[in-house]
Amino acid sequence: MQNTVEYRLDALHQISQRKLGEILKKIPGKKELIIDPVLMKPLECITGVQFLRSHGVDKIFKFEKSGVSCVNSQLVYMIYSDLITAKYVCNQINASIHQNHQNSYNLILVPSDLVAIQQLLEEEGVHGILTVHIFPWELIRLDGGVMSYELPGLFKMLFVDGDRSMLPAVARSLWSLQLLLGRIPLTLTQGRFSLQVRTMVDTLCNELGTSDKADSDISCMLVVDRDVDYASVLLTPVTYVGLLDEVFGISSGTIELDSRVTGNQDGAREKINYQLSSTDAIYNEIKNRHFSDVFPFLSSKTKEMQSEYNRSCNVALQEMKHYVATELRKVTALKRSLAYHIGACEVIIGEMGHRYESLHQVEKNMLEGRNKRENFSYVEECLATSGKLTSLRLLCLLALTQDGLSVDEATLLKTQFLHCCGYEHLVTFHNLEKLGLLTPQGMGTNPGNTSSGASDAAGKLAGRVAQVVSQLPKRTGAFQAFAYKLKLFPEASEEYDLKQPKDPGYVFGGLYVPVVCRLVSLLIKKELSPEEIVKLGPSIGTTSWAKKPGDWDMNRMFPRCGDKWVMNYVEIGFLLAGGRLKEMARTGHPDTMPVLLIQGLLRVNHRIFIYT
Amino acid sequence: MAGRLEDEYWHASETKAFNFEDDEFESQLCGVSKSGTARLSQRVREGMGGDSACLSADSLSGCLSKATISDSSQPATRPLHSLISEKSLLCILEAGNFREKQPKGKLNPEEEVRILRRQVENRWVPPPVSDTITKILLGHPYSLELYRSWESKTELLDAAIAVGDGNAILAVVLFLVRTLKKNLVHQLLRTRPEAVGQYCQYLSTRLQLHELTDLLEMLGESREASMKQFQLSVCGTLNPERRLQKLQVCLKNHFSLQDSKDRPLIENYIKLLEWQLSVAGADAEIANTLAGQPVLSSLAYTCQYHWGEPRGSISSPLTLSQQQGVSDLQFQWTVLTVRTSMHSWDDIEGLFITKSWLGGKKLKTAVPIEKVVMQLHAHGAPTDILVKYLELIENVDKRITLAQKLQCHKAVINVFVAKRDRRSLISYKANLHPQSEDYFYAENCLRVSTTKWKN
Repeated sequence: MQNTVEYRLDALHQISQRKLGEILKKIPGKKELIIDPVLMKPLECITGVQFLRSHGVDKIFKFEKSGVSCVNSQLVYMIYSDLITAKYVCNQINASIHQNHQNSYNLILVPSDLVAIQQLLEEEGVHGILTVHIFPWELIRLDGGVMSYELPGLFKMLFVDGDRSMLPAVARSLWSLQLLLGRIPLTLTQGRFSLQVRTMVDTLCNELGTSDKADSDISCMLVVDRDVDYASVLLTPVTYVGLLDEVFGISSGTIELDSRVTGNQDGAREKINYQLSSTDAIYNEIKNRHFSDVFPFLSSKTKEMQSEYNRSCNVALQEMKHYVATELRKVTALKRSLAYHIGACEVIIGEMGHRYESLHQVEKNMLEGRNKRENFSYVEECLATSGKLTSLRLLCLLALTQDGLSVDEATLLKTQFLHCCGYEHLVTFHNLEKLGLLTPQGMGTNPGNTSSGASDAAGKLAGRVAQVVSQLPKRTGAFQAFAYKLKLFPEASEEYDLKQPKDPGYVFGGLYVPVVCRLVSLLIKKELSPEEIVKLGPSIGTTSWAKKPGDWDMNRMFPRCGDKWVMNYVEIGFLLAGGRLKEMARTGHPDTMPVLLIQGLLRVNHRIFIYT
Repeated sequence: MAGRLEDEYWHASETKAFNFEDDEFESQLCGVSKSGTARLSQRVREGMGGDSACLSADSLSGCLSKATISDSSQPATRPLHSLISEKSLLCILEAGNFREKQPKGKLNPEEEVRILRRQVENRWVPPPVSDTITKILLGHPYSLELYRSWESKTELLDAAIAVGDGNAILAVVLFLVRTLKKNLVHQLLRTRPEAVGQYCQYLSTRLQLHELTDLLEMLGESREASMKQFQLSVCGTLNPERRLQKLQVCLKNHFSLQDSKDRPLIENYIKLLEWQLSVAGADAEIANTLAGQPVLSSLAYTCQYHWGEPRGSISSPLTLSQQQGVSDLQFQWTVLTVRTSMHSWDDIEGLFITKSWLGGKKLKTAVPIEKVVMQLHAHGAPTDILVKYLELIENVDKRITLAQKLQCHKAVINVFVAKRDRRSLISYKANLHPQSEDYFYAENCLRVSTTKWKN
């Protein structure tokens, strides 16, 4: 079962490639491809230089505002569907026309066509001169069952700006997925955007068709808005991959390693991009382990390799030949991988070691709503002594867990933050307030927002402009009440073994279970019906059956055998806009996503998780 | 022999209470020590070619090829038709292309005439709003021109909002703006926050500030409006003088209300910029490093270059700190960091230690004293200084732990002397390097006859 799904997912990249190929075929002759730098990494996951060359791409440039000098007369710009980037493209084309260049211009928009861009092209007078192509790529498979649509600014667009223009593209990717894997019978949603995505998927199925596959490989899809569970983004993860993201920053499944990790002193190539992939046997073993469990593994692996190497030194010439021919490449690869991961561990300890313990303790106190004064002064201390992002994250966690800050607290922390990071960040604070992350106590939520159920409640939330208030009710202790209700705090016990975890709470050192994980595990336990489960979440929850519920055998969908979940890929957890705080803080700056959370889940249950 | 070393080395990851052999301050995370990983990585790298990692020739941005990191060769790609049916594949590939629905089978002329007539009629009768919105969602051609009545415009907007496609919402709003007078547009938007959000985002991206402010103020969102003004006047302007001018205008026009929470902050921002410009004066180099920096960086600058200037002087750290209302904690930490990095240990004393009138030393610090000691240590403060600050940690156990961590044996010895704990002192001495200065110090303490040992 698992394998067939894994195989099938291979099709996604091939389909994306084919779509791109067809666009390039429409543009005759030798072309110059000018790519938006933020598109590079995701694009790399689906295609390569060879493919582009075979489709007549002669030269590849990074798109720069200042313009590029071109040799060929066929120019192909490839950018995200972003108004500002489109404006820069217009500027370049107009400048080029002004110089009487006889070029032909093409623009490939990823992933969708936007009215705003079309209008801009018209206003700029390049409509007709420029041929627009749309490239709606499929979900990009980062590693194993983890996929992403790779829309870098989506979180900010949706939750800060209230800009929903990317939702159709997201819906379309889920529609394609269902053509590939079969129509998913049950869809659960948490949150208002998720609900809208679901209805769009239904529309697409009606208008464009559905899969002719009789059975779906997947029995249930869970779509969740990011704002349902901010705590998971704010807490510090302690799995290997979580810490990698924390220290190096993972983007499109790759990290950038510098000489601290590679050990290259010659400076010939200072940084390398390293793709985190399960085909790397070492990484595959350690990615989801708790950090304390990573190092023993690496040590024993090194030891193993060492002894194998020693043995190989003492063999006869004939055997040696064989070894060189077959094993050497493998061993070298393994060794390099080991060296990198050990190097990465070293850097992680250097960056996090001195502060992790106190941080962990404070996070624990905040979650449990204890030692409020100490927590507050810890945040103050961070604002004076630590990095900006760390302090901001803690600040938000503080506000979240005590259901907002009092006016005095808020003013104090805000002033200190602005002193440390610059007054420009007044905007950052304003954005956080809009997100409901830094709302003053007893303000910001109006009772109407917590109503759930009725589908049009989502559309008619009375509110301010672009108001995005977290749906958590804001009574004192509301956060804790909610967490207890959903059992998000792992049972505190001496035996909580981070190396052999009983629940996904180990991701945060046994402090907290992400909401999505809890919902999925409840679905698998089958003690409650899907309808009841999805109502447990803090936001509007809905259930939708593609067929009548009676037609589906629940036991077939969620089979269970002992304590192990045998049927993999029963659910797709889909996190809408898995943006990190970095995105809100630096307005408009595209950034990475919380691989930590999703990959943390994967160790516990092998499922597909998609985030955008 | 090798075996024993080996073992020692593999167990290096275990946390040890205290290791005299490590001369470096140990950093660890979840029980894994840094020196452990360092040794391991040295080991692995031995015999590894310096630069044999090959870059994938196929990579766009210079990524390591998968073959260099994985031990298995890439599995061959499976043919697409084995993964998905031809029909489904076509369905995905054709999804973006619009095709008029073709009538099935052959038509007789009468039927064809009927269909054509219907098409002509449809050109003048607006299609149902939901059909049009679906067309936008699917990326098919559409036209909004036929929705001319107020009622149909309202329906169209509501249909777009119900679907939730931001692109469709914006398309409709732009159409409304083009075809309705302003106050009617505002009337429609007033009760539809989703549409307002979408439109505002568009206006602010297009820098149509005037429209934006109008709209937001009509909706009673003056805070949002003033924030947008602030954002655009600050973030878009790099030149400090221009930024200052814009900010002053922004303050006057948009933060004029006395009860605005943000007003004092913006006033301070203006003061900061003015201060930076006046300190920099005509010196372009200083202006480059200083202008636009946050308060604490500016403070650090004064600590470095204008330390010791009297209180009233404009560039003195105290003046800036007072003007901006910097918290004690942030002030002290900044001073501490800058002055320790310059090895001006005496300045730190002036900052934290006040002499009480009985002659005793009194600590006045907002920064936890442990952090002060760590920071001093990080910048290589001499032992005497460290001991002095360690002694200010009131909790004796904490003091000993930290002193041991920092290899500051004198402070530990002093604790044992103060506790009159001879035994602990003797056993501690046994772990010290014989003939070292600390060793003699401990010995000396044990020899002093005035101490009344309790054991």
